[in-house]
Amino acid sequence: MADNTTTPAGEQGADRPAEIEPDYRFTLANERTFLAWQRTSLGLLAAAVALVQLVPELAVPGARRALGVVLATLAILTSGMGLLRWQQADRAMRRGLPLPRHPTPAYLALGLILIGVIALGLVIAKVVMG
Amino acid sequence: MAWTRTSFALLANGALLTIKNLHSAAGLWGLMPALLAATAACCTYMIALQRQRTLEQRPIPAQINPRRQVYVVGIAVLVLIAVTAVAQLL
Repeated sequence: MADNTTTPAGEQGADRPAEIEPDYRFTLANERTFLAWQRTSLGLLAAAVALVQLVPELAVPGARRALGVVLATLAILTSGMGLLRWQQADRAMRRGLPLPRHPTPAYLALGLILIGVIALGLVIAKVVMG
Repeated sequence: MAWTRTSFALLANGALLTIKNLHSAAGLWGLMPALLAATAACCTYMIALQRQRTLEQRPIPAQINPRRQVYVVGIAVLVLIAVTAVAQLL
C-alpha cells in the first residue's frame, strides 16, 4: 500500500486514486499553458472590440457587430476551456491518470478560419460594390 | 514571465477599450470595461511578483500549485469578456 494513500485502513481498491504532489516542472508547464489560453482569449476580445470600434462599415450592414459577437463568443469559450483544461490536467497529474484529450485547439482553429473567410468575403464585396 | 505577459495583454485590452470611450458620452458605464481590465492587469501583475518570489526560494517549496491565482485570473478574464461584450458589442 502506498504511503500517501488517503483511503481508510483496510479498504482495498478505493474508488478515488490517492493524490500526490506532481513534479514542480509539470505544475509550471500546466500554469503556462493556462496563461497562454487566457492571452489567446484576450487577443480575440481585442479583435472583437477593434472590429466594432475602429473598422469602417462593411458591405453588409450589421456584419461588423455580428462578427464582433462571434469573436467575443469565441473568446469566452477559449478562456473557459483554458480554465477547465488546467483543472483537468492538474487533477490527472495528481492522481497519476492520463492527461485529458481536448479538441479545443481544433475548434478554435475552425472558428478562426470561418471568421477569416467571412471577413475576407465582406471586404471583397465592399471593394467590388465600391 | 507568463504572468507578466498576461497582465500586459489585459492592459492592452484596457487601452483599446479606452480609445473610443474617452470622448464619448457613455460616462462611467462606458469606461467600466477599461477599468475592469486595468484592475485585472494590476492583480495579475501582483500575482506575477508573488509567483516570482515563490519560485526563487531555495529549495523550491513542496507545494507550489497556484490554484487560487488561476481561478482569480480565469474568472477575471471571463467577467471582462462578458462585460465588454455587453457594453461594447450589444
